[in-house]
Amino acid sequence: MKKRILVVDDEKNLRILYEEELKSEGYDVDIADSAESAFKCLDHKVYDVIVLDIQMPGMSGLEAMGHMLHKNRRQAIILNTAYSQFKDDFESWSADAYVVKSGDLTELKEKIKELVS
Amino acid sequence: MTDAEVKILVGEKDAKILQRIRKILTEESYGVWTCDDPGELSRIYESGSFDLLILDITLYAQLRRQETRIGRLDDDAAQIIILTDEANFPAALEAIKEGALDFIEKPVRVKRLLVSIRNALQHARKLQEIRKDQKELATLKELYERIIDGIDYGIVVLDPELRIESINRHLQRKQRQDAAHAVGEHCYRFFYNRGAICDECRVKEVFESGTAVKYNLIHRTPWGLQYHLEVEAFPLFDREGRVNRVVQLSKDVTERVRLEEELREKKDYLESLLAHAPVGIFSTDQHGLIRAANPEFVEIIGAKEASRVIGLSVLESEEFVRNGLAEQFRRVLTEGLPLEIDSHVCHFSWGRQSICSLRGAPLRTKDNQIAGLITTVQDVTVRSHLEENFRKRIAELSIFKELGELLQSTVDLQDIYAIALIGVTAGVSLGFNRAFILRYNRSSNVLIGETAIGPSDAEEAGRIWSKLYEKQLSLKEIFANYKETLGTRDVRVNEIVKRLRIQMTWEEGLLPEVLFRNLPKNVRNASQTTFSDQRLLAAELGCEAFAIVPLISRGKVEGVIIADDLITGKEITEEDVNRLSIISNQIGAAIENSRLLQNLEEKVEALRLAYLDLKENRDLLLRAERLSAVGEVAAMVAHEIRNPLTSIGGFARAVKRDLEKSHKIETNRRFLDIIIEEVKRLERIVTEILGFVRPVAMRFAPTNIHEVIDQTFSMMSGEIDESRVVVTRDFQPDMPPIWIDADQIRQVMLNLLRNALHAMKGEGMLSVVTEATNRAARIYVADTGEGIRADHVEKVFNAFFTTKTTGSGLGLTISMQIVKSHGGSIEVDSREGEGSTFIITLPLRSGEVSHEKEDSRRGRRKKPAHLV
Repeated sequence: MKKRILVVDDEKNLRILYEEELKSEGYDVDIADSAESAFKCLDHKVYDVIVLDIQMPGMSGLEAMGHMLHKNRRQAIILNTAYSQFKDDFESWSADAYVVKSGDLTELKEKIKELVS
Repeated sequence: MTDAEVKILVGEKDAKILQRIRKILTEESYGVWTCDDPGELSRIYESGSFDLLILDITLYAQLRRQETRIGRLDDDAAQIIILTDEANFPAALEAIKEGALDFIEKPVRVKRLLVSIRNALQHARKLQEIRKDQKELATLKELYERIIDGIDYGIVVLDPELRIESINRHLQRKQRQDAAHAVGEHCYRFFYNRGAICDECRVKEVFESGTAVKYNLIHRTPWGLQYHLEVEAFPLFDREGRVNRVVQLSKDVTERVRLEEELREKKDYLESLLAHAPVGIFSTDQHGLIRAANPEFVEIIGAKEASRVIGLSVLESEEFVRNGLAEQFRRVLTEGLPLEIDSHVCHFSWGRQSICSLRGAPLRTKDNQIAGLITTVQDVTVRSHLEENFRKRIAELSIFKELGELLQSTVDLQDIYAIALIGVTAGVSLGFNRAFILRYNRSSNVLIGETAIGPSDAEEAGRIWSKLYEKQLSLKEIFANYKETLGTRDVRVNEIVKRLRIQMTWEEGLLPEVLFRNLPKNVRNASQTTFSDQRLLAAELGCEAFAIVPLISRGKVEGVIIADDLITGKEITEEDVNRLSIISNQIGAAIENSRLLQNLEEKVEALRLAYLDLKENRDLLLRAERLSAVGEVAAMVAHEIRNPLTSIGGFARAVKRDLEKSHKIETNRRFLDIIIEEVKRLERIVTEILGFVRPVAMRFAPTNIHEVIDQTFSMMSGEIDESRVVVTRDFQPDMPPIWIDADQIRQVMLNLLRNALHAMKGEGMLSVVTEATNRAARIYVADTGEGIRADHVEKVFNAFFTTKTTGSGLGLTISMQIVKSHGGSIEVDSREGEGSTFIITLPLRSGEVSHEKEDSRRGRRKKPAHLV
């Protein structure tokens, strides 16, 4: 059975990129453009990995992560952000991985692979 | 009267007798008129003046009955001789009784007749003489009475009972009564309406003593008038030598008494005026002998009694000659010149020396002859002394003022000491011969000679002082002179002062008094003392008398000033010491000023350094702020480009992956590799910025700003062409090159032009205007767009402030940062709905200025570091 991945990002192009790339890696990919829509997805499905952007309009990725972990403490979450400074942020330690956004998705893909295996 | 002049009228009825008598009388040479008719006879008698009438008794009787003048006993009547017969004897006797002189019986005998005529004529002559005497007496009496009545004296004659016997008309007038009432009345009743003799009356005395008295009395009339009377009463004596009457003369002297009183009052007033006048006054006669002198004059010259000066000659007396006044007085008396002598030193042998002011003038008679002189003398000694003192004080003050000014001209301690020494010794000032300054070292408790001024000996003193005196130098000039000749003069005193080093002890002595009790001292006979320090000083200074005063600055003792008069040997007065103290105080204040200034300078330097530190810190802070602002901007920029980069990179890789199956794979792959590579590089840069924000290095170069603006317009040409915006450019001709980083300013222009285009929404006018002033270039970018809301104007330069949906809100912030880093400024002037104008001001030589700043700051920083 295909591993299921939820990508949360406010950037439309990035959502497309992640969706295409991860699909081509053989994952079942859902996308959400905000924390709120991500919670809706989570209401219906269970995801093996959630790729979460931090800087988003509305609820931030970190706050969203809090809710998600509250709901499912074992939820695998990769924080995927343009900023590296959140790496030192206490909250981000609860994430399973912290990946700085890059056109080279190799690192992200490896982290996902690690988490789903 | 000769017989011929004798006129005789004969009346006889008997013609024979008449004839016969005529014949006889004619023979006797008498003038003879005859008549036999009584009427005729009377007429003849009236027509001429006859000396003798010879009348028949019957005719006589007839004429008597007819009451003619004949036979009456009046003054001019002729003598009558009656002719009678025996029968008429009784009638003849009657006629004799009535005044006839003689009668002759008829017949008339010649001899008898002639004898009778001769007797009659003789009688007539005697009678005539008596009458003449009586007449003279009457005239005389009348004259005397007139005199007595007319005289201005009251005259009253009193009997021993004091009854009025007679009273003259003058008194009657005075008394307003007439003599009828007065005579027989008692004088006291008549005059005073009194019942008894008056108390003051001395008439009784005259009756008793028989000698005249003279006295004054005040006569008050019953109706209230008051007279001053001068009374003289003298006795009249009867044949036995007893006083039977007293004549009282009284003269009304009321007016005289009044005048006398007035005169006396005037005299008293003048005398009192003279006696109490606050100036001395004396007068002399024409010979210069003092006639009068008031008490003040006597007091001024110290004579104690006026009698000592009265009679002295102001021309010859030694008192006036010695004082040089005699000659002055002579001029007054001989030439009539007024005398005016001010502040004349007078010394009369009776008293002390005084300073007087004299004013004199000649006294003149009515015919303008000089009759003497009058002089006022005022003792102005006190005033003169005060004035003298006052002058001295003013001179002193002006010296102190000059000294003060001189002291203010310097804060150099050595100069201050030098000025002190000059102030103490200069002739125009205190005029001491020598002066020394000793400083007190508190930590070692030693008094050390510092500096001194003064000649070595009398010869040098004479040379220096006479030079100074000739030139009349001011303190300032002396000071300048002193500085010039410093080191070459005052050698000996400076040797002395350099040797002075006195250890202060707890023993009693002169110096502790001066130093620690702040007491100025006037030291005399310096060696004759138990104070060892005083003896030491005397020995070192080589002087027995000196003044020593403490030198105090800000309440702390700095040392002492010592001054002496070694060369002249003049005695030092307490006043000298006082003045020395004043100078010492001035010096103390000057030292204090000097110290304060020194402190102030140190403080100012410290403040300046602190300011530099602060300024540097502030610069660092600003830099840090700017860096953090740049950092924020960079972060924002990074964030904004991360996402597109990520997608670009992602898709590029995807494309590459897909392309590997198609033609021209190699070429496409190479291109895509380039994209990927480039993106990687960008990403790396972004990462670096995010990780460590570095300020962008500026590359300044002299640049033609107009070229930069044109380049920007070229870059914008696409957008402008698409719109309907009209662009105008108005460039300042001959704009000098500006020291700028062209890339950055281009960025600024780009931001402004882009904003302008957005604000106009594709339609309007965009103008760019440049102008140059001496110091700066200005660029105006004006649009006719929507403008900025008033409450937004303040915020447009804030980071991330934007009204645009697609804007980052960084354009103006970055522009501002760039312009500021050029030392310039950017402002906005905007009205909502009308458009905005952005004004960029760039300094023309900003690059150089900024370099200079950098250098000078470093230079200043370094100096203190070396000092430390």
